Amino acid sequence: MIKLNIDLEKVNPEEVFICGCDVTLKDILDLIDQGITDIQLIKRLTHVGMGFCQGRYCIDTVAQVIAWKTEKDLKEIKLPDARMPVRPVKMKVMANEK
Amino acid sequence: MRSEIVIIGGGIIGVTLAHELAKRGEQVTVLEKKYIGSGSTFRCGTGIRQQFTDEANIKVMKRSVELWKKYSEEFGFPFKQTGYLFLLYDDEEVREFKRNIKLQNKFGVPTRLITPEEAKEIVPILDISEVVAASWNPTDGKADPFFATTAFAREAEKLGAKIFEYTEAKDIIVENGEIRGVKTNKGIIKTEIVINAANAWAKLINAMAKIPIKIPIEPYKHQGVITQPLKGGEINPMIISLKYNDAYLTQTEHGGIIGGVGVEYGPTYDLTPTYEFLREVSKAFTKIIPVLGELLILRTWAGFYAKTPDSNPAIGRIEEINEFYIAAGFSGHGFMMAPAVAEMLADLITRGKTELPIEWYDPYRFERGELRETALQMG
Ligand SMILES: Cc1cc2nc3c(=O)[nH]c(=O)nc-3n(C[C@H](O)[C@H](O)[C@H](O)COP(=O)(O)OP(=O)(O)OC[C@H]3O[C@@H](n4cnc5c(N)ncnc54)[C@H](O)[C@@H]3O)c2cc1C
Ligand code: FES
Repeated sequence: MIKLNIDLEKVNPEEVFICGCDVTLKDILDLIDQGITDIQLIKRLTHVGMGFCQGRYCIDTVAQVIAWKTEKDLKEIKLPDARMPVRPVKMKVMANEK
Repeated sequence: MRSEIVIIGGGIIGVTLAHELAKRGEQVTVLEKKYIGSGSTFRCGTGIRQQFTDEANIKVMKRSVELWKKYSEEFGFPFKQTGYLFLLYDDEEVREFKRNIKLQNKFGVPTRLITPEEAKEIVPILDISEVVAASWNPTDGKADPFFATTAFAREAEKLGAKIFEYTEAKDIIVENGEIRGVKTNKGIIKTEIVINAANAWAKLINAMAKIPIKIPIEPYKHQGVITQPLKGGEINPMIISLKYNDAYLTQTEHGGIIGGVGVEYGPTYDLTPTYEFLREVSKAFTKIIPVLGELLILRTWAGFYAKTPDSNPAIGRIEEINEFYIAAGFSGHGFMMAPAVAEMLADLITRGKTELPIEWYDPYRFERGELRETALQMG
């Protein structure tokens, strides 16, 4: 997991993009403020992790934000189940697998 | 805290039921251990069909489609009647489907047998080289599970229902056969009526109330797939191929192809996606529509089919525990049935009877050894 080397307290949450596909730190913080700290749900409500990187980069960041806000250890934050395929793969490639 | 009725499980069944009961003036509380839809509902394939093979399921699904239409218009969530297209590959399959079509027509569902060429007009990118006919009902459809579930929950709350998320039922307090309350991780809720709407977890809830009859409902892992958006050719209906591994597939609003095949594991509470599924779904989909081979697979996910021995749910009242009801064991088709299930169970609770054929889903049929004809299951 990549460690964030910015101070989240000092940034403008509306200007920090958590996910390359249009999800800001503010979007995530707003949900956490409402008591929603489950990554699965945050994912479905904001689309974070459902775009081009499929969560491979951005979900770690979300987990760190939740850990920071809820004052929990990062290890206690449950990550979404790994979902195959690891990289997007063409259907015809899979169809020819044995 | 007190509530007249407590529903355990905040999936599509729990929220439609809460809405239906609140509409009738009942004071109802839903307990959901995570967030609404987090069980199987948000993991479903979106399909809603009336093409079943027995009278009860056809009648119930006809009513359900009427309700899907009504509520999607009233509440403003996406429900589209884009049809279900079953591809048929040999004379025997055609004979069987002719019988089903006759039954469906008898109860007002306008399914008809069409030629492969007509099927190709509906979905131009279809490969019909092996297809000999298709069973087509344009009034079947699909709905968005995220929007539908949250809409029913919101409307139920407007009518006074309480929905408690992150609230897990831990035990049911029963004294001399009478329900007194439900113990949760956040305290006790006093109540006289409990409804088990926990589907894949239903057996655990039954055990809490010490239900003395056997209602076999077991969790089986099934998976879904979504691809990148498909440009050009459009796939409006749900396409089914029993020949190619019970495959079902359609296109979402965003253009991606969503669907699954009959690769099943269990009973299990494990939800790890499998390589076998990825391979089998790719094989089946590229047989049905070869150009899908060019699409990137974005994601797979797993959820539960809560299966009973005859693939029909258990819906009704458990006499030995006053008052305990169950609506669970949907065997992979509970999303589509939800509005009608909510109506018939609310009828039973508030009026003691219903016009819909609830007897078909009698929870006592397992104990009595009176299994039904197996309901047609996809995937
Ligand atoms: C891959 C896949 C594709 C599918 N495709 C379709 C389809 O196309 N059409 C269709 O109609 N159906 C489909 N289904 C089936 C459909 O998802 C289910 O039948 C339906 O969602 C069942 O709804 P439910 O409300 O009964 O269960 P759920 O949505 O599972 O709700 C039950 C809830 O109970 C909660 N719960 C459990 N224990 C407790 C407790 N102790 N206390 C509080 N809460 C508790 C759970 O967290 C869960 O949210 C599919 C399923 C899968 C997995
Ligand atoms: S950047 Fe959007 S999914 Fe990760």
